[in-house]
Amino acid sequence: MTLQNTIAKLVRYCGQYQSHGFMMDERNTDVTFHVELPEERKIRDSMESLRVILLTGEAGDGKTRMMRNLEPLFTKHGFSQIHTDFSALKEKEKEALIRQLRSVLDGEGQEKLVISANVGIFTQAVIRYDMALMGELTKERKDVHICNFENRNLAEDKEAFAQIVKSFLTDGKSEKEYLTCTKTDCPCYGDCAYDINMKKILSEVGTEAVRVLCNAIYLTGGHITFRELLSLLSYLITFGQDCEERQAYLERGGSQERVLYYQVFEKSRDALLHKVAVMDPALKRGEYSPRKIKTKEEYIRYRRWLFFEEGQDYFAMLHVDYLVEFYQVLEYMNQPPFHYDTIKDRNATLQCLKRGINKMSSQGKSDGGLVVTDTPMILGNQIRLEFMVMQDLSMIWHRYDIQPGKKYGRSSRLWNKFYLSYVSKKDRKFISLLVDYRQFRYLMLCNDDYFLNRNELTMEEYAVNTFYRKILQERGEAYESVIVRFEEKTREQCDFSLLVHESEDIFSDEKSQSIRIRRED
Amino acid sequence: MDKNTGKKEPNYEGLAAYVGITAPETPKYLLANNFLLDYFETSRNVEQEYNYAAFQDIGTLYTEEEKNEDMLKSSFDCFFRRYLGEDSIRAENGRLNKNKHYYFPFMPDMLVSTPANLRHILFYLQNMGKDYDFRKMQGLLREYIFQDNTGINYIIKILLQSQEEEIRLKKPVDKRVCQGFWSMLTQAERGRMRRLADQFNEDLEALLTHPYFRKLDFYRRYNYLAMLLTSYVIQYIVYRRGRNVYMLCQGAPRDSRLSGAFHRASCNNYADIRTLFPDLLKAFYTKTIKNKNPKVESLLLLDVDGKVSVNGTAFEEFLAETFQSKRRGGRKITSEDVRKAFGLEEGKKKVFSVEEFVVRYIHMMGTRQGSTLTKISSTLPTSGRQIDMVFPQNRSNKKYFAMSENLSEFCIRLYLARKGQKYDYLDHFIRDLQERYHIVLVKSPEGERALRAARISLSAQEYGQNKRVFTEMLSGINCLIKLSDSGYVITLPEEKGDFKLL
Repeated sequence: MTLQNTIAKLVRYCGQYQSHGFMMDERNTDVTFHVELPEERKIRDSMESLRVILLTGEAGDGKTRMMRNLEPLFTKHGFSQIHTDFSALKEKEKEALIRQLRSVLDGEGQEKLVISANVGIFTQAVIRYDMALMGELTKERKDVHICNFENRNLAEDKEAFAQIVKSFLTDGKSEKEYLTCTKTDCPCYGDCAYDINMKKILSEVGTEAVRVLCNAIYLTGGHITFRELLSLLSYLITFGQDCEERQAYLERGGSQERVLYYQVFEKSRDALLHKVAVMDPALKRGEYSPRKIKTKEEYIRYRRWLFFEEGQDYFAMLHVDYLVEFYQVLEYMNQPPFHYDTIKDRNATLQCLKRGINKMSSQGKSDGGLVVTDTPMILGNQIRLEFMVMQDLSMIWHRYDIQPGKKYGRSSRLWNKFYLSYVSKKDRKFISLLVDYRQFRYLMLCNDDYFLNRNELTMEEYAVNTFYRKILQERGEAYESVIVRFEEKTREQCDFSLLVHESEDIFSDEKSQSIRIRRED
Repeated sequence: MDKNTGKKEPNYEGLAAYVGITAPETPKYLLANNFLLDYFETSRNVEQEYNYAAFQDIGTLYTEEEKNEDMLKSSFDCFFRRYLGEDSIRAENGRLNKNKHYYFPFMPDMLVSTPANLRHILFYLQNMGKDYDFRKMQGLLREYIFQDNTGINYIIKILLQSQEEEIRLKKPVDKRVCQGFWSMLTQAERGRMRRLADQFNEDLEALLTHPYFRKLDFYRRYNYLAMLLTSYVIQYIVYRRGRNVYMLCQGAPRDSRLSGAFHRASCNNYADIRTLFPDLLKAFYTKTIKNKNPKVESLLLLDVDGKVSVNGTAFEEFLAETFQSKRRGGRKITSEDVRKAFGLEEGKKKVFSVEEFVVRYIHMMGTRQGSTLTKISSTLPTSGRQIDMVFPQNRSNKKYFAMSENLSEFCIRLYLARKGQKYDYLDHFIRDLQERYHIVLVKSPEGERALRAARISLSAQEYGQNKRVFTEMLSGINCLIKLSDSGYVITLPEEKGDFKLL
């Protein structure tokens, strides 16, 4: 095994490599590279009790590979029906399989099933043939294992990630083997970018930097498939060029510096590389740079290079708004008790979020008490209705996967979203607002007084409005008192409240209702 | 009047009766108001104003702050004018009677009579339906509109409490009146309208009964009712245009990705549908001339001494006799207009076939402001603008259909209510839009066939782009859940949190 061989193998995985598209089969049958992922381990460990295994995800998530790895075990445990590609089934076969799945879940069928499917196509079939099955599948059941790779974060576990990187890049060989170059006549012999890239990415700090990139994509709501991860690693080493192409590139006057690992941030049309390029540390404004840096190009190079160096605050370096704050809140949510009262909790970022929600519904409002508003569109932006009994309403921030009435421990996974919830007085169920990165960023922007000029409600505003409306429906008495606020008042106008007043005539026992109006500003 | 019997000629009310509509009813809230008036009696006191002073007189509003009272009065009145809908109704219709007050119907006595430009078309359409039951519909509308005390309505109802009267119900119309209304349709058209009627009744019942609508506050409920009614005015036009007529809809009102071939195609499609009106006019006039003069094959126009005659009768007189048209203001038709339109020369005669005469006559009338054709034709763009379905919303000639945020959310709500589901696959919804409402968004053999008849052809990429735009728009209004790159589920914003992905 020489460096050339290593590169020849790695480049096949790179989406930028010109022959990449033709090498699918070759890559799929590559048995030399094998990493046991946590999902695979989990299935192996619980195989005894399982009757249904459903693997869903995008193309390239590793479903087929995992099925191939587990096939002997499936046979051994009596899984008679293994459907490796649900999408390829005919419509009638899909319907039959859904019915069969229902029968197994109801305890009528005795078969054991393994289904690998594109989640969209599978859900479509479920909706078409047995809508209630969705509810059944999303319940936690011991005999059903559902692995949705789209929710997986490959970069979550530091050790597992390092193992993937190492195993993929080195194939279990020693450094002497995979880095030895025998092409002494090569113009870059002794100063080879492949060599530099391999050493950096395999170093602890280099691997960690790549992990942070993948983690940031996950945290901001993106998803990296297993195939994409391998493609990214391959790109970091080869930039999509094998040895011959590299030589030709250099002969054409190409720069060796342009194919060093940190140039992964360079703008690209490729969907995967674009996800990385938008986080380019060089795009971040107002960052410190040493005096020796004189030009823009030097600054770009310096910032990109620095990201892969030791002792960096990785998330802070990336050009992603509020990523550090978002990460900190997610970590906070994963600490006991996993839920925090919105009034009592003093977490600074959560306080900002609260203010952001208020400012969103009422620009200029600056205190931290959550006020529920619900203004019919007909009133436009000029008048706002606030519900007095809902002021400083008690709600909680909580981890994504917890439900009322159950006890939870620290989760091994860090979800990329959390909830703001109101606990229904009627049935103790949550009425929730999902706060993912997009919602988080929007609310933080509102907190910092960035308001977008627009005519329609944004998706984030819709989400908050819907959340409020659900709470108001739950609390009918909320409508007994309302404050009417004007965004822009004339001299003759003031904010006012309307309050239902009930009175009883003690002589005739007659009850009556009227409305009291009072000035409120 | 029938000259022989002296009775009013059944179903003959001229052009408007033939087309089914006279002009649009705007804003959509007035259309809903008029629709409700087919079931409930109108207000007895249209000059009643609801404001601070009125509620104080009634005794349902009081304050303890006398020194602030003027300010409170001014603020309350400003809020209430807007809240009861008067501001928004007047803002969209400058011709409304200034002595009347137009409110949203929080109570039956707030229904106000306004001109029925649509000639009760929706009501008559309902009556055509197979299982239509007037009393049942009346009951459902009554519950949906008037019998709600939830939300902010609670306060409004207390303020209005002593004003609430017993709901005065109307009686169903005679079946013969309904049949008479539709007498202008051919057998095939009548079949199509019956299908549309069943669909309308089904949609309306879903809206009036399903919690997706019933659980909303008054404003949203009333707004959705108005949207449904207005959308069926457009549906009527499309159905009347022909059996295989479809609306090629852009996935969002304004998206630069659709500015090329798709935009041109959708403008052409809109223009094609709009030709319904001149076509109907042409058919109507031709039919009328032939009915009045069964033996006449051609018309002889003569221009002598500055006066134009048709088959020996003065031009104006001929029109009045044939079309029984009453002139209402506006500029008179001059001999010069006629001469120009028919290409006449002093002292010379010219012969026209009935069809050619009609075409030239329509052209002449169409160029005059406020013509019947202009008013009738404006029903399509005006109704489309009311529900955000026709764009651009200015006086531009090149208009097109598009799915706006409001309209899409409404369609999803109605679709899920009809199906009784919390969510469904996006493709099923898109197919339903096409099959049920003739709204084409994506490539399909049926849609392609229908559009090809209007000489519209688009590539798969262009349709694909339109679907992407539509999907992004749905995502923007929180009605979409992404499952995978190709799989989406539609749901309502309030139900979205409950959908659990696998």
